[in-house]
Amino acid sequence: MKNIFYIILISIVASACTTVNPWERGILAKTEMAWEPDPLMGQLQEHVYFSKEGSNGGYGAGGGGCGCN
Amino acid sequence: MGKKSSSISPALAALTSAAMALPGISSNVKAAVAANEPKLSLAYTRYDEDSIPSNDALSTAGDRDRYDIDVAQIQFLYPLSDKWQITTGFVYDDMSGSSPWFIQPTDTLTATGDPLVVMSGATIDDTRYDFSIGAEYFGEKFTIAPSIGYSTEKDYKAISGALEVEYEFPSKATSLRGGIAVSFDEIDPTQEPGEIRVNNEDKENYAIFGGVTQVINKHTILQTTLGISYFDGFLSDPYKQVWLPTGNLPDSRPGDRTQYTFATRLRRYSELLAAALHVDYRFYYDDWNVRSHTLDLGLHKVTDSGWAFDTSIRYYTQTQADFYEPFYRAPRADGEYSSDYRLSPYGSVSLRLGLSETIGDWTVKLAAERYISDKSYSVQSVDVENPALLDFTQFTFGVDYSF
Amino acid sequence: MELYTFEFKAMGSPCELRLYSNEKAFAQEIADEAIVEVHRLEKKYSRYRDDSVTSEINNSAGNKNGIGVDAETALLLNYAQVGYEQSDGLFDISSGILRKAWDFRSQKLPSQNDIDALLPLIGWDKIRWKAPHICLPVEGMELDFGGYVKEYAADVAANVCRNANIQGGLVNLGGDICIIGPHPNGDAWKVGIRHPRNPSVPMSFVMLEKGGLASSGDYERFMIIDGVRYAHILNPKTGWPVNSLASTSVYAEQCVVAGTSSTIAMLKGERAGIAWLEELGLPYISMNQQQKIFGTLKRIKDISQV
Repeated sequence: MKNIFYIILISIVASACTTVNPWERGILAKTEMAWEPDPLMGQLQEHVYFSKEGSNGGYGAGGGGCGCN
Repeated sequence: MGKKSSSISPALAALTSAAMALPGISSNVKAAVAANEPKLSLAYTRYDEDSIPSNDALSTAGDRDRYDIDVAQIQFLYPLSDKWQITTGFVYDDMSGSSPWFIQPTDTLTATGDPLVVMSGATIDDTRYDFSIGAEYFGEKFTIAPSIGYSTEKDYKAISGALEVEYEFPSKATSLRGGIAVSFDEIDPTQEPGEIRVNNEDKENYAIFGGVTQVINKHTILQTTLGISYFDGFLSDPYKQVWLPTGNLPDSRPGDRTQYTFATRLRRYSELLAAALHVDYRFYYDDWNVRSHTLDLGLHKVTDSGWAFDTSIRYYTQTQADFYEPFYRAPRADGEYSSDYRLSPYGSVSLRLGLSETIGDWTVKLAAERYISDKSYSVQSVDVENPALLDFTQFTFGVDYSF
Repeated sequence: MELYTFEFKAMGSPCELRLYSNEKAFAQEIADEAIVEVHRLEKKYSRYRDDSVTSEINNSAGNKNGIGVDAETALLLNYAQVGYEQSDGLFDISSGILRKAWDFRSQKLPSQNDIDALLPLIGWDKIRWKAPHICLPVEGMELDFGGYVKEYAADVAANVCRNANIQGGLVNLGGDICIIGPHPNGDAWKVGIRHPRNPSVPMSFVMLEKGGLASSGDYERFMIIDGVRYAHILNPKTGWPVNSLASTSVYAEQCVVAGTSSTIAMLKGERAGIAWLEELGLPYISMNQQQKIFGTLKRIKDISQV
């Protein structure tokens, strides 16, 4: 489990942390590269997982309460 | 002579102002700016939980059908200027169905045999309304995003607030982000004749997070976040009970819970596939001893013709809370009890598909998800699977309009 | 304090960077940074490179969803839009395809058919620009940043130097000047303005301590056929050259504004151009086809006196 994660991480970092010039940011600015390409879907999913599983949180805070004790 | 009095001609003012905005002229290359146009997003989701399988439930108990939820989401994004934007959101959630009440052994005399779910006889029909409003300020180096929310349903009200800040280093390759959030909740469980349930309880949450975002190269960006969240108050499920040979007791969890998360996520663009690869990982740990790993792998593709497609697979595994048992053979000294599947050891796999088409200012989206839990998906071996593990299917239809 | 001069080629023109520094190595370092920026802009907006933003945009022509652009390109497109609006549609970055009809080395005029074939593909009003998406709705439409990216690059290069604490110097990109700062003793730079019919003798001199000076002339690309001069000052609405001034030079705080102003003045033709420059209020000098000189800079040579 954790090994897969490390392999992915190392192979990405190994492809070099290069300086990215402002004009090269076009790819990073694409919608599909966003942390959350569909915010509404993302909020719904987070709410479902947080209510129906034993964990919560991750990339931010907030999102309000829920009667899902 | 050319020069007019001291007032500047409109043409000159317009050109100068547009020139001053250019990066490199006024040394302000803002990577993030407010959206350019208002956008309205609507989505309807139908969420259906699978019924409890007959061999997992006590046949003489209530309906094995679990929740069905209809969700309507509305979000309106409005840019006030190139530095400020406001987002308002409204969620309407209508849920009906039954939920697991308690779990008992097949043979209640000897407290042996497979655990069986006893469903509550009463079906719930409840509506939740959630309002939120947030603002985002895009400065030269800082982005600041405050937000507040209010959620209300028959037995529950919550008010929450959050503040998120991001600072971008001059190199523009690295940014730091952090934030805090609070939530104050009030639980007023619906009372059931013959049952004793708590009346009017409170719950508070304080959370803080911090992280780093790093541009690795022009195709790759990585973000890592650490978070701590603290809950204090009534954390038990007022509608659940636990089975003991001497008689049921209410679900009773500790009065506080501290949670820790480590999350890292990657976005990498593949020229070959002309799509973005998403890898999200989260490690969670709390002081009830629940530990979980979540791994989400996705592929998101946007074509030039306006079609977009995404698919992802999410893998989740968690361990149990210290005090969890499907049912109890003897009372606990600390008085903590819960048979809630959400505190049991298990794993789940979820598969999602999404499709959308953009024509001009309109986007139409369809999405589907199938989520399945099972003890065999758990990383660690599970002796006894909670019979109330959840499987669900979800369909979403959404429409976006840019003004 | 020494004056260091660095010569280089960019944007198809001879360029130079002059800056004052106590240390040669430092001057070299900063000059290198500034020149890198000029080359970066050259590559990013080059019509000839497949990997440029210009090519990406032009290749997307005909795609009704357009493409997304980065922040710098978005702001340059906003600037082009302002130029279009302030010039009654004469400053139009979609007019570059007229080069397909006009070959100034051929000594041949295009036919009206040649022009008519291109006119439907020209017009900023036909283009949908809503940041960050640009859409060129018809295949064959093109954008050309060449009309102002050189002056913008001059501003950027000067800014790189100023940000590095260089207090005196100038950037000269093929005749477009951006002042970094005056000479260490406070003296202004003496900049000559080219005479459109006599390249070896300046028409005038300007003393500049700051700001930018950009020029546009009918001598840059032209052909003379049957005694008539046809210059590359093309009206995007008709496709034909304008009866323009022979040259215009404008001073503004930003070289890019100076450049756009002189270009628009040339596109408006002599009478409307002069009127527009007077209304604009920036110091300028223009010469018409009869070699008559107009403008605030013909009498006053020191910008600070204007």
